[in-house]
Amino acid sequence: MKKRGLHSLYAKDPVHADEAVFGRTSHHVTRRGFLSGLKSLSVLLGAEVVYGQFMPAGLIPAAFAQTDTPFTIEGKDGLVVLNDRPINAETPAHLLDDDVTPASRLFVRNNGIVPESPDPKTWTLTIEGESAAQSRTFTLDELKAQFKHYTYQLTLECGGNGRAEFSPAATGNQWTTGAVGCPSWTGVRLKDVLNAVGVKDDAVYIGYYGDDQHLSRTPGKAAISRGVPMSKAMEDESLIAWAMNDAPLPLMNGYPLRLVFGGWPASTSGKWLKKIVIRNQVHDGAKMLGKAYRTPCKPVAPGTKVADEDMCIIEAMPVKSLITYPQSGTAHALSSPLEVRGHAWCGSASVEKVYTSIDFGQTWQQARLTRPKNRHAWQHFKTTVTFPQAGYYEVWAKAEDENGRAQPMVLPGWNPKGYLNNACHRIAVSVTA
Amino acid sequence: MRNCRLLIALLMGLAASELAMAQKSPTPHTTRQPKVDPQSGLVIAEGYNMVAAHCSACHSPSLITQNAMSRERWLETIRWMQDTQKLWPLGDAEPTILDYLATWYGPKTQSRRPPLAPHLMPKP
Repeated sequence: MKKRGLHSLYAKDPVHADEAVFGRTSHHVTRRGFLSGLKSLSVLLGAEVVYGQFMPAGLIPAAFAQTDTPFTIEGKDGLVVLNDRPINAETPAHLLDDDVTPASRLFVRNNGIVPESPDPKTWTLTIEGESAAQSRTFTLDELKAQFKHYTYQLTLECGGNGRAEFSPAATGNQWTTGAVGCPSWTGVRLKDVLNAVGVKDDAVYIGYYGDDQHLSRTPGKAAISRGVPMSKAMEDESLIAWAMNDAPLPLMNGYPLRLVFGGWPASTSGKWLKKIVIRNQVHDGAKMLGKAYRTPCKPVAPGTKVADEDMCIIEAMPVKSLITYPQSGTAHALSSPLEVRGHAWCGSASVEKVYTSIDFGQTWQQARLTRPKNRHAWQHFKTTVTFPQAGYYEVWAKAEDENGRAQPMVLPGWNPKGYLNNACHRIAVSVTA
Repeated sequence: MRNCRLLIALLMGLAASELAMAQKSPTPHTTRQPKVDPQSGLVIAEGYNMVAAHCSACHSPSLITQNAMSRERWLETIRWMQDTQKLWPLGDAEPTILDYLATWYGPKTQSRRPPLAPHLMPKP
C-alpha cells in the first residue's frame, strides 16, 4: 500500500480507511461499532480499546492523531477523538477552513449513549410542561407539513472549547480549539411550534429531553436535559432542525431531530429531540444544576473552590476567532506575503473587527471581515502578513465585537469547570529565508 | 565571591517576575508534601546534603528554590557555572545533585498560556 497520511485516508473514505488501516469494519448503516478488527487496532495502539464497539467509524484515535507515527503525515481530514465513551471528538483548526462547516468536520460532543437506529418515520416530538397550554405530540412529517421551513447558518460551540489550557486544570474533555463549527441548518422555528401549542404567561424557560441514554443505561435517567430562557427560545433563528447542509443530520449530531441555538453553549441545542417542556421556572434537568455549564457569578482567583449556589448559568458564548489557514507549524518563504484567514463569532452580537499580530501582540493589523450571513453565523476574516526576517513566528488572531469587547491574549477568568476560554488563537509559522 | 554575585544578578534579572510565581511550594495537583529545611528553604530529600554543600557554598539556595528546570537544563546551568563562575567539578555527586534538582525543582507544569503544543510546531 502506498504510504499516505492517516488524515488523507480518512478524508477519502473513513469507513474504508478503518478497514485498510486498522482492519476493522463497522455497521454499514449506523457506522458505529467495530464488527471486526478491534484486535489489530489494539495492537497498533498498544492498549485495548475499551468500549471499542461504541466507537464510530471514521474517527482517528487520538493516540495517532498527535504523534509522529507514519500515519500522521499531514493530510486533509479527520476528527481527533478525546473520549470514546461517550464519543467526543474535535476538529483540528485547519480542517475548519470551509465557510460552511461540512458535516464530516463538525465536532461531536456526547453526554450519553447515542441511540441505536432512530427511525424518522416513527419519530415523535412532544411539547408539554407547566407553562404549556396543552400537551401535543407531532410526528416528524407533521412538523415538516404544518410549519414553515427556515434555513440559517448557525454557530455551535461547546461551552468547554479551550478547556485544555486551563491552569489549574479543569476536569472534563480536554477540548483545544476544535469544538466549534457553523453548518447550515434547516428546520422549523421553535417559536412557531411553541405558539401553536400555546405558551402560558408564566413561562420562563424551555427544557429538552433526547433519546440518548445515560452512560449507566439506567432507564429514565437523562444523560443531559438542558434548555434556554424564553427570550432565546423565541428568537427567529432558534430552530427545531432535521437537516444539516441540506442533508439529514448525522447520527452523531442528533439524527433525526434536534434543537439549534446559535451562539449559545452547544449543550443547549438538544440532540435526538423527543420532548420539549415549557417551564414556569428555570429548567432543572440533568446538567442544568451544580457546576455544569455554569461559571462563578463573581470572578474568582485561579483554583478557587466555588459553592454551587455561587455558580451562574452560561448564556451567550463570548467573542472568539479561529485561524483556519495556514495550518499551525507551516513553513513559509520570507520572500512572499502569507495569506491568513479564518472565522470569527460572538454569541451576543456581531463581530466588528478582527486583528492579527505576528509579534506576540505588540502590534496588530486589521483584517478584512465579512458580515454574518444571518444572526449567529460566524464571519470570515482574511489578511496578508509580511515577515521582516526569517525565524519562528506566531500568528495571533483577535476578534472584537460591536460593543468593543475583544478576545484576551491569556486565559480569561478561571472557572472550576473550564468554560469560556476565548483567548486569542495562535498558530506557529516557520519563516525560511 | 564577585563571580557568585554576578551569577545571582544575571539569573534574577532573566526571569524576575517568573521567579516570584514559581516560589510557591508544590503545585496544587501534587500530593507530595516534602519536608523543607526552614533555614535554606530546600526540600529535605536524597541529595539535599550535597546540594547544600556544593551549591550554597557560593550562592543563596533561594536561587535554586525559585527555579524550575528539566535535568538537561539544570546540567547546562551547572556547566555554565563551571565554565564561567568558578564552580568546581562535582564528581560523583553530580548525578545525585541533578536527580535532586530535576525531582524537586523540575519544569513548571502550570501556565496562564502555555507554548503551542508540539504537534502544532514547525518541523525541525
